Amino acid sequence: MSDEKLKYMFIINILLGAVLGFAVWAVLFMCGGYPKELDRPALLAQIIGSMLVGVVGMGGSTIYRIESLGILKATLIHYLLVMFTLCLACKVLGWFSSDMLIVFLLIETVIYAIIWLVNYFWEKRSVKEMNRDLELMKKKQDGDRS
Amino acid sequence: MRKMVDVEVILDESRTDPKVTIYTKEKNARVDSIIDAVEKAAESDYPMIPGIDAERIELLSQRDIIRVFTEGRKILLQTEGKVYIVNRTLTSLEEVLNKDRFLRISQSEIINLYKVKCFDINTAGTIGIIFENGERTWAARSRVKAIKDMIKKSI
Repeated sequence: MSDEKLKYMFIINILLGAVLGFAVWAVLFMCGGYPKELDRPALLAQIIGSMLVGVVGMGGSTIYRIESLGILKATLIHYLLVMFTLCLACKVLGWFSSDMLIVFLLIETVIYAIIWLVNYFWEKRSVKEMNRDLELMKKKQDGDRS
Repeated sequence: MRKMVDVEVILDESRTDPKVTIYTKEKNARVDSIIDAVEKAAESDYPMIPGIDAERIELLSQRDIIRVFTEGRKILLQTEGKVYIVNRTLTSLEEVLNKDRFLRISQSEIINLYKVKCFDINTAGTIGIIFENGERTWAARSRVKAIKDMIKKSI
């Protein structure tokens, strides 16, 4: 992907992330996920925190388009970015207790690991099919020559 | 003078590309050289590529090219035995190379699919390409679909 397209995609992802973050906050707010007695600055901080997590998650996903990094490095970087942002937001905004945060991070780690494994085995199967088709292609070429 | 080979041409409107069928008692060196001559004639639509090796310029048949790649600021062309410098850009080479045989696999490399021995994948999830001469390279993720499509088209 060209640098121009990458920059454009990054901006779009950041905007989408901000909207998604706000949407998640709005749903949680309507479901009573926040205390009603929050003053305006605290409410604003919650909204910004939620949008920031969205921005880092979605904007950070652009990293998967940087082919020189490879899928494993991209996954690790994205995972660390999201984890760090979540921990920071939880600490500053008091989203979870420390115990709940550890559980949440463990779940996140497992989810990333599952996604990575599924991806890897899918690609491995794909490579097996490519090799099979390559053999057929060569047999056809030899058959045409013989 | 006795004719070495009988040639018969059959016009068939359903054929887009000519098909050559050789009737022979046995497959021998003479038959192989006829096949080579026919294939060379068929590939004359595809220009030979000039490559520089130790200040000598050689004209290289596209069938002999394994891959073309960038190294630093140079464009290099690899055949079975040698690596040549080419005074062209990858994009301009892509235009003249046989599109049924050559494929761009990344920003910096074009390969001859018929010189590929097999594909593999490493733990980082990158798809590797191993050539018949043992050389190895990597395919960009965005090009994997194009590789699959080209192989399927050639079956």
